[in-house]
Order: sequence, then structure tokens, then C-alpha cells
Amino acid sequence: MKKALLAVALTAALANTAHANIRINGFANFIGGMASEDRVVSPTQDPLYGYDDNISFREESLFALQASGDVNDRMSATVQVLARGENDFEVDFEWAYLTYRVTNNMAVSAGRFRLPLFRLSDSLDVGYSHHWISAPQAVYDVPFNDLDGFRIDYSDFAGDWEYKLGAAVGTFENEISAGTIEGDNTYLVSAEVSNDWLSIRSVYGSAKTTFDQPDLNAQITDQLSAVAPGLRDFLLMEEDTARFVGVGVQIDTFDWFVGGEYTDIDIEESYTPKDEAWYVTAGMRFGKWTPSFTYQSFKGDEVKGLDELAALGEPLQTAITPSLMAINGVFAQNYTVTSATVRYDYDSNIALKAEISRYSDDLNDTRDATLSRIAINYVF
Amino acid sequence: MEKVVQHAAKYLGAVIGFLVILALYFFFKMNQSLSADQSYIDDIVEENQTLTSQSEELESKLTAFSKKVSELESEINDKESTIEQIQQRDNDSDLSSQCAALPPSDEFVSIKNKLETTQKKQQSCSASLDKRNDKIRSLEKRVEALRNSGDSLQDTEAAKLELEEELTTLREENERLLAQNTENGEAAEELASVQALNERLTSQLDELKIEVDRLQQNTSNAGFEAQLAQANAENVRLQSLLSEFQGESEESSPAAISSELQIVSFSAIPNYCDESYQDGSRCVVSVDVTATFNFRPGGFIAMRARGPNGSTVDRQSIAGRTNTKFTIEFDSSEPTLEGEYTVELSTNDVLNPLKVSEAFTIPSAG
Repeated sequence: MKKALLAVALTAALANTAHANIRINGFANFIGGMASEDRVVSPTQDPLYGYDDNISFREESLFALQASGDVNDRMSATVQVLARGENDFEVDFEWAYLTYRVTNNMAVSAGRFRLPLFRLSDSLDVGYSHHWISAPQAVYDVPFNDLDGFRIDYSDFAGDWEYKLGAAVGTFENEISAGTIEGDNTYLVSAEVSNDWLSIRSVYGSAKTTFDQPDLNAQITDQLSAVAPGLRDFLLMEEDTARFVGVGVQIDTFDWFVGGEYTDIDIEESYTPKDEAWYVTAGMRFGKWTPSFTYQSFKGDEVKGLDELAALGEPLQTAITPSLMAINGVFAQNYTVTSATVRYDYDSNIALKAEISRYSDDLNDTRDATLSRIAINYVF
Repeated sequence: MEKVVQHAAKYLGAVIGFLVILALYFFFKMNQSLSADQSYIDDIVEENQTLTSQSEELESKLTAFSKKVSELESEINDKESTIEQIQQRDNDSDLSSQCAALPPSDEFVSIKNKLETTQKKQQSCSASLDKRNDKIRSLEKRVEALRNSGDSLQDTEAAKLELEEELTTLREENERLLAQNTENGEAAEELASVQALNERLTSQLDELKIEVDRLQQNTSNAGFEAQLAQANAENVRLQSLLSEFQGESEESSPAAISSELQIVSFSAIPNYCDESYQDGSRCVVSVDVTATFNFRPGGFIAMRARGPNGSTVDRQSIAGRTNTKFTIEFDSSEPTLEGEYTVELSTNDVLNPLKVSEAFTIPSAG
């Protein structure tokens, strides 16, 4: 409630600027889903995307309001408040930033904004803008989506090719897996070239990352501080350099489209494995109907610390190996998801969708599941 | 099923709670706006009135300017008629020295008429003279014949006196006619010389008229272009004032907060090269475009300018602003194709998409 009042007050302050032109938009995703019973749910194994074998409308539903106002001819302010069903629809500030148009080709933003990691980062939560119900989780499910800092965007044409260059610096903080992940000295550069039907994008980012999960940190510290402090420092994620590399391609002739993205996330000195994820999606448009097919893959089962453990020699190597494997096992994932989606454009701002997905886990068959979802997306 | 109902109820409660928060927010904002922003509304009304009066003033200026243009046009017509008057009055200083010795043109006409009349008289006099000469010769023959016949002296001398008197009368009349004919010839010669001079003067006046027409046309074209550019600039300023006024009016209305992104006004002013080509065509260096939207477009606007033949003239990516200004660059090394040019503007903002097309015309040089 406190955050809601804060959001209301800030939005009201923005609205009461004497010469501001306020523009209010909103969007909502009303999503319900149900997973098959074959996925085993336990304290150590979450439901697939939060869905179990009972239909639920909370996991991915959200409502959002975005207010944008002109401070002057060159500067504007944007605020987005969002309420997610998984957070009991608690209203939270998603974005709040100022944008200054330096020239016709360059704009600078400051505040909290979406980290431009992916091709669809800016519209990730606007379900109406996508043909699928939710973006491929293998690629897009990362614990750092928003950045507090500065962002520069440059856009121009070279012949028929439009090129966009972007750079962002700042910090991020997010709660995940009962812990807090922080990224300091975060910087990211991106480049995109596109023409009428083809778009190619690449991105590189780096951050000093710290993941603080008290239980896990305590376990590592208790087990290794006395016998292998070096291995402890290696495994703990404390201001370790994380690297993010991404490439995306999209071909869209409007009648049909094909696209895909590949990402590689690695925090070298930590227990988190190197994550390689990619997806391919394709679809066709038949008037108001858009059927599509998506295949996504996630591979992150590399065991970290084996070389550092081997350096300890026996008997430590034998003694610590089970703990090391257990720690790595917590974050190891290797799965594929195959989805078929149908979208119907009911109106110019309302879309209805239905999707069925098959989740196949290569490490643990008990995680396999079939997920059925329906969605209503609208914008205003 | 029970769980579903419970989940649905909980979800419904959350939605209702969110809507209540939203309603409270708008209620709070409305109350605040009603009291605190009343002065703002008053300011808007006052500014509206000021802008309205300014618009009226500017409209009257435009009207006066249009009137001036009309006056210029009428002046040109007057000047054309003045040239004709120059022919009749010979008031131009360059011609006055040549015209100093010339009688007025209306006297030319009267002299011409006189000449025609005199010529007719001369012809009739010549015919009469010929008749009288024939009569004289026949009378002389009769005198000779009487002299030679030996008839009575009295009858002969009486006839002779009678014939001599008739002969004297005819000779006097003949001399009188000859004298008149000579005078008419001198007048005709004088009139011929006047006619030659008049023709020379008329040709000079025609050349002068052509020269004055050309100079006047160039002056009016240059003046028109300058005044047209001034009017265009004034028009753009009026349009921007009007769009600002309309924008401010829309800002205070709820519809503007949630309406679709649209172009409110669009203007394109071409900047021509100094040189022109032999076939009369011209080249354009650039076109200054101002596109005013009902609110600021998000992100960057992709602009494509196409020529009359559909080819792409320029493409740019422009940071969106409510009043977006940009310049379309042309190839000034060759003549610019005349006709209608299209400017396509689009954004990929998912919440406020834009895809519009506006047009402007590059007129022919003629």
C-alpha cells in the first residue's frame, strides 16, 4: 500500500508540472494456465513457470500504467508502475527515467529503465506486441532486467539500412531464489542493423556481480572456510565479473516471420554454470490469425570448481566433491521447450491467445511437463 | 473446483483493490486539479485570448499582405497601361529629345485626313484641267478655222472676242488649279516625312514597351518570390502558434491523454539553388520540414522521403518530439524533379504506434 501511495504521489507530481504534456498508456496481460500432472512438484522442485495441475491466473498476469510527460521541447519523463499477479498484484515502480534528446539522432536517458539485453527488452511485458503468450523463458528469464543508471541511444540511416547503437551504465539489484543479486559497474553496448524485413542485433555486457543467499553462502562458508578457503572464494559470488553476450536475427515480411536469439551468460569464478540459451520461432499471418511455432533450448549444467578442487589434492578432493556437486546441482539446468501458439486479433488493441508447450528436462525426467495457457492482452 | 473459485475470488479481490487504488488516485488528482489548477486553466484561457487576438492580428496582416499583393498586381497592370500612355504622351525622358520636333499624334491623323482629301481634290482638279485643256485646244482650233474661213468680220471678231474671253477664263482657272496642285504636293511631301518619322518613333516605343515589360516582370517576380517566402515563413509561424494553441487546448481535455498519435500539422519549405538551368528547371538544396504531433512520439521516428517517381530521396532516424523538425537533403548538382513528394513517418512504439504519410509539392519553375 505504501508503494502504491508513493507511485500515486510521484505520478501526481509529474502530472502537475506546469507545462508538461502528460500521456497515459496502459497494458494488461490476463493469463491463465495449467500444467500436466506428470511434473513432480516438491519443496526443491518448483512448478513449471509457477503452474501446477490446477488452473491459475496469477503467475503471469499483470497490469501496468505508463505515464509520459514533456518537461520541455527536448526533455521528457517516463514512469511505469506495474502490478504482477505473482507478487499479489503489489504495485511497484518498473521504470522511472528522464530522456533528453541531444540531437535528432541521439537521446540520453537517466533513471531506472529496462536493461537492453534482448531484442524485445523494451516491450517484454507488453504481451500485445508479441505473437507468443510469454517470451521464451530459456533466453529471457534472467534475474537482471532493469538498470539504475544512464543510457545513450543513437539511431541513423545508411542508405536503406537503419543502424542503432546503444550503451548503458549503472547498477542493478533484484531478489531471486530467496536471495539478492546485485550488479555494480554494469555496462552494456549494443548494435542493431535493420531494413524493411531483416533485423540483426548483437549485445555485450559486463558487471561486478554479487549474489547473497544467506543459506547457501552459509553452507559454502561453513564447509570450505577451514579446509579450502580458495575454493570458497571461487564459489562465492562476490563482485565476480559476469559477462553477457547476445545475438538476435529477425526476418519479418509481415505475411510470415522467422526469428531467433542466442545468449551466453557466464560468471567465471562462481558456482553458477555458464548458461547457453537460444530459441527459434516462426509463424504466419492470415488476416487476424497468427499461428506460430517456437523451439527453445537451455544448457547450463557445467560443473564449476572441479579444477580448483583437483588442485587441493586428496583427501580434500574426495571429501568436498559431493558438496561441490550438490551446490552446482542447485543451479544446473538442461532443457528444451517446444510451443505451438495461436493468436487472434480481436480488435485493434485486444489480442486473444492460446498456447500449448512441452517442457523436456534432459537432467531430470520428473521435471517434464505439458503446459496449457490462454491469454488476453490489451493496450490502451 | 473449490480451489479455482478461491483463486478466482482472490484474484478478483486483487483486481478490485487495484481499481480502488486507481479510483482514489484519480479522485485525489481531480480534487487537486480542480482547486490548484483553476488558475492554470485561467492562464490557459487568457493565453487563448491573447493567441486568438494575435491570430486575428496576424490574419489581418495576411489579409493586408494579400491585398498588397493584389495592389502590386494592379500596379503592374497600371504600368502596362502607362507604357501605352508613354506611346501617346511621349513623357519618357529618353524619347523626349527625339519627340521634341514631332507634332502631336492627333495632328498626324488630321494631316493624314487632309492629305487624302487633298489628293481626291487633286485628282478631280487634274481631270477638270485635262478637260479644260482639251476645250482650249478645241477653241483654238475653232479660232484658226474662223481665221481661215473669211466669214463676216463682225461675226468673226465677235466670235473671236467671245472665244478669247472664254480662253482667258479657262487659262486663269487652269493656273489656279495648277497652283493648288503644287501646294497639295508640298503638303503630301511634308506628310510623308512625318509618316516616316512616326513609324520610326512607333518602333522605338514598341521596343521601349517590351523593355519596360521585361523589367517590370523581373521586378515583380523577384518581389513576388521574396514576398512569397515571407508569407510562407509567416504561415509557418502562424501554424506553429496555432498548433501550440491547439496542443494546449487539447492538454486540458481528457481525450488528449488517451487519443491516438496523430500529426496535427505538417509543413515543408523548399530551399532552392541560386542557379537555374537552360530548360527552365531548378534545383533544390534541401526541404525544411516541421511535423507537429498531438503528443510526443516515443523513441525514434523513421523517416523516408520519396520523389514523384517513387525513388527514395532521403532516410533519417529522428528522436521524437511533439514539434519534430528535420531537413531533407537533396542532390543539388542536378535539376530537381518537380511534382509531389511523399514523407513517410513511422515508429515502433508498441503503446503509441505511428505510421503516417504526408506530401509536399516542388512546383515547376515556370
